Amino acid sequence: MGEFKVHRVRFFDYMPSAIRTMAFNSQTERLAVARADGAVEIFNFNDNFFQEKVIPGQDGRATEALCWVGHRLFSAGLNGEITEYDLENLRPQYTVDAYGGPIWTISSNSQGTQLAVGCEDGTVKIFAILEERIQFQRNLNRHKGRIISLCWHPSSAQIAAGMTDMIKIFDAETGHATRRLLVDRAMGASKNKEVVVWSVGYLSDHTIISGDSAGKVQIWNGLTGTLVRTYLVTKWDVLVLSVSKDESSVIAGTSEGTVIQFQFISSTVDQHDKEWVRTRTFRNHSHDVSALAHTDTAVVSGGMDTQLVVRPLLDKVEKNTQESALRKIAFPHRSLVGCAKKAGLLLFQFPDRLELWKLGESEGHVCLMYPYFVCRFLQGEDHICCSALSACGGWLAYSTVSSVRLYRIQYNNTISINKVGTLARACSRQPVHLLCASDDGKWLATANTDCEIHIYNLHKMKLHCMVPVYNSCPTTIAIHPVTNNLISVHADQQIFEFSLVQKEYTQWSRRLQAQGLLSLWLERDTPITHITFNPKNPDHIILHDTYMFCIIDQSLPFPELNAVLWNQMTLKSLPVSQRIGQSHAFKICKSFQHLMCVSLLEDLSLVVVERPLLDIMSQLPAPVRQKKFAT
Amino acid sequence: ETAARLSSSKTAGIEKPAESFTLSLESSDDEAPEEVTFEDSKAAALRSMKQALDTARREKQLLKEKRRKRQELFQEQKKRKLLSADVLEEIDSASSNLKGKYTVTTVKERTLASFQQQVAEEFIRSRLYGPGTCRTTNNEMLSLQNKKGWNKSAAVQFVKKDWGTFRTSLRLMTRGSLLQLLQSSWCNVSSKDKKLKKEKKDFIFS
Repeated sequence: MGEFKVHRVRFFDYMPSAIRTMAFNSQTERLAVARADGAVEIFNFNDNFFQEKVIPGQDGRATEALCWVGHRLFSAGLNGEITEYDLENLRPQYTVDAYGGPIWTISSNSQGTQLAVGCEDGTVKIFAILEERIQFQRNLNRHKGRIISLCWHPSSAQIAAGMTDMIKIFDAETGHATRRLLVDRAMGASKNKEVVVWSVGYLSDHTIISGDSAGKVQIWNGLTGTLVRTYLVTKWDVLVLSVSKDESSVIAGTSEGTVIQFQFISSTVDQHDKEWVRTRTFRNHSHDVSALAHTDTAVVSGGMDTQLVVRPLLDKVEKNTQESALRKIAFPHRSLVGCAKKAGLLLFQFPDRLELWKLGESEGHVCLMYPYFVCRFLQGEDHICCSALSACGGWLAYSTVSSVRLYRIQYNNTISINKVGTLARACSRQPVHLLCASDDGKWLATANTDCEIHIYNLHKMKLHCMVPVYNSCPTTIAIHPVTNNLISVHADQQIFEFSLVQKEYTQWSRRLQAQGLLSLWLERDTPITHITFNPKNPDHIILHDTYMFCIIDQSLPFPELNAVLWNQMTLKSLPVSQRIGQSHAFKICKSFQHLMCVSLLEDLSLVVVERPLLDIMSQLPAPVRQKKFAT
Repeated sequence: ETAARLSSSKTAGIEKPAESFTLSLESSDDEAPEEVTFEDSKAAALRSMKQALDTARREKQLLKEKRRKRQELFQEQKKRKLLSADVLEEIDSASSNLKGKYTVTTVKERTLASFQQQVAEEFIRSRLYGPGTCRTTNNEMLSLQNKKGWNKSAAVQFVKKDWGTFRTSLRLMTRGSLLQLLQSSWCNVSSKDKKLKKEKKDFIFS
C-alpha cells in the first residue's frame, strides 16, 4: 500500500501555560479556563469537551480569577484590572482599573447585579454590573492586609473574605466587618509563618468553608463565628475550593496535586445529624492544583502541570461507559504547526513568536534531519491567535486580537522578508475558528463555533453554499486537491465528505454514515486537528489526533462493527495474499506521540512533529517533595 | 505593493451576506520580523537574561528612591507648619527665576502598577516555592515514578542524558556540528527511542 520516509521532528519547544483558575457556567455547560500567560479557553462540555474558543493572552495580564455572570465572562488579575470578554469576537471587550492594586479574586452575587473584587490594598470593592459595562459602587471597610479570596452568601447580604491569619464576614450593605474568624497557623516549625486563606466558600445555611496554606480545610458556623471542624488534608497548601450547586459536596485542591472531596452526609440511617465528612481523594495531577470546578456530575481540576482533568463522579454517571471515563486534556485542540509541503518548511506558533524551520533532505533510506532555523517573527504584547504558511513557503500570515499580518518571503542565498500589509479585523457574528482554501485557489471554506461551515467561491467572490449543520463542532476541515470535496471531522469524531460542486454529501460519506464508525474510533478522547492528502494517491485522507495518525483509504471497505480497528501489526504478519481479505479503510499508526502535526511533503516523506509529554514535564515548575516508602 | 481592494457583491438568494475584506499597505510602527542565525539567537538569549537582571535592579532602585522620597516628604511636612509663610515668599520670588530652567516630567503610571504586580507575584512565589516549602525537581519526581511504576525503569537522569539542555544546545549549534550529531546519535537520547531506532525508520502500511 505505501512506504513512507519519516521526518521525525522533536524540536518544537511547545510549552503549555499553567492553569491559574477556572469557572463553570452550568446554564451553557461551558468551562472557562484562564492560563498563566493570560489566555482564556472555553470548553464545551456538551460537545465532547471540545476547546471551542481561545482568547490569546497578553503580556502582564496575570489573570488570577474568572467569573461568569449569565453569558458574560469577567476576569481580574494582578495587573489591577477587571476585564470583560467579547466571546463573539474572542477578545477583551474592555478593561476597568479597580485602583486597588493587584486583584486576587472576583465573584458575583447570585442575582448577577454586583461584582466584588478582593484587592492588594485590603479593600473589597463592589461594582454594579450594567448592561454593557461595570461601574464602581463602593468599597467595603478596609482591612490592613491583602484580600486573597472572597465569596458571597447566596442571599447577597454578606461577603466572606479570606486574608492572612483570618476570615472576615462583611455586611454587603453597610460595608462593616461583622465577624472575624481567626485561622490557626501551622503547628511546629512553621508557627511563625502567617497562614494565608487561599479560598473560601459560603453556604446558604451560613456555613463557611475555608482552605489555607497550612494545609487545612475548616468548617465554620458563620452566624456564631465559631469553628466547627478542622481537616488537615496536606502538608502543603490547600489552594482552591469549589462548592457544588446543591451545596452537598465541596472539593479542595492541594499543592500535592490531590483533590479531596467532602460531602454533607449523615452517619445515621434516618438522615439527621448531617455533617461534613471527608470522602474521596483524587490523584490526577503531578503538580499543584490551583483551579477547580464542581459540576453536577464531575470534578474538574487544573494547575501547574497544565493539564485539564475531568473526573466524573461515579455515583452521578453510569459506570463503565464513555460518560464515566477520566478525561485529561493536555494539548490544544487546534494545530500550532504549519507545513509548506512544496518547500519542506515548518512554521511553529508560540504565543509571542513564530519560528520558521527548513527540513533537511534525505539520502536514500536514511532521513538526515538536519533542520535549520530560518527566522523568527517576534510579536509584541498581544499574543498570536493563529498563523498560516503557504505550500510554497513564500507567504506567511498571522493574526492577533487586533490585526492580521501578511508577509512575503523570498529564499535565494539569503532570505528577504517583506511585510505586505495589515488587515483590520472584521467583526463577525460567531468566531470563525477554521479556514482552508483549495489548492487551485477557487474555493474557501470556513467553520465557526456555531457548527456552520460556509463555502465561498473565490473566483466569483461570493458565498457558494452552506454545508448542512451537524450539531457537533468541526475540529478540522480540508478541501481535496483533486475532487474538491470538503472533508470535515467533528468534536464527536464523526467524519463527513461534502462535494462542493454537487453541493451535497458524497456517496462515500453516506455509506460511512450508514455503516457507522467503530466505537474505538468514536471513543478516542483527543480531536482530529489536521487533515492532509497524498499527491500520488487521491484515495488517501491522512489525519491525526494526539496519539495516532491514520490514513483512510477511500478505495477500501469500511471495517465491520466487530472488526479490529488497529490491524496494521496483524496485517504485517500475514502473507501478502491474505492481507486483502482483512484490510479495511482505516490504517492507523501509533508509533509516534504526542503528535502536534502530521503532514505529507510533495516528495512523499511524512513529517511527524512530536512533543512528548515528558519533555513538557521536564520544564514545569518544581513539584512538592513527597516522601515515599523505600525511596 | 499597490493596495488591492477585494470586495464581495450581494449574494442572491442566500441570507448571510459574504464579508468584504481589504488588503492594503499601511504604514505602521510595528517591527519587521527578525532574521536570526544560530549565533544571533544565542546572543539574544544572553542579552534578554541581562536585560531581566537590569530590570530587577532598576525596580529595586525605584523602590529605594520611592522610600527615600516619602521619608523626605514626611520631614518636609513636619517643617512646613513653621515655615509656611517664608516658603511661600521664597516660592513667589523663585518662580520667576525658574522659568525655562525646570522641566516637568510625567511619571509613568505603569511603573507603579507593574511594581505592585511584581510584589504580588513575589508573594505567591515565596509562599509556594520559597524556603520551607519542601519542593523537589521534576527529574526526581519522574525518577521516583519510574522506580515505583509497573514497568520499573532507571532514574530519569540516567535514561535521558542531557536532560533539558539537549534542546537548547541543539538550537545553538552550528549547522555542521548539528549534522554530525544527528548522523551519529539522533535517537540515542532515551531507551525508548533506542528501541524505535532499531526498527526500520521507514513506515510501511499494509
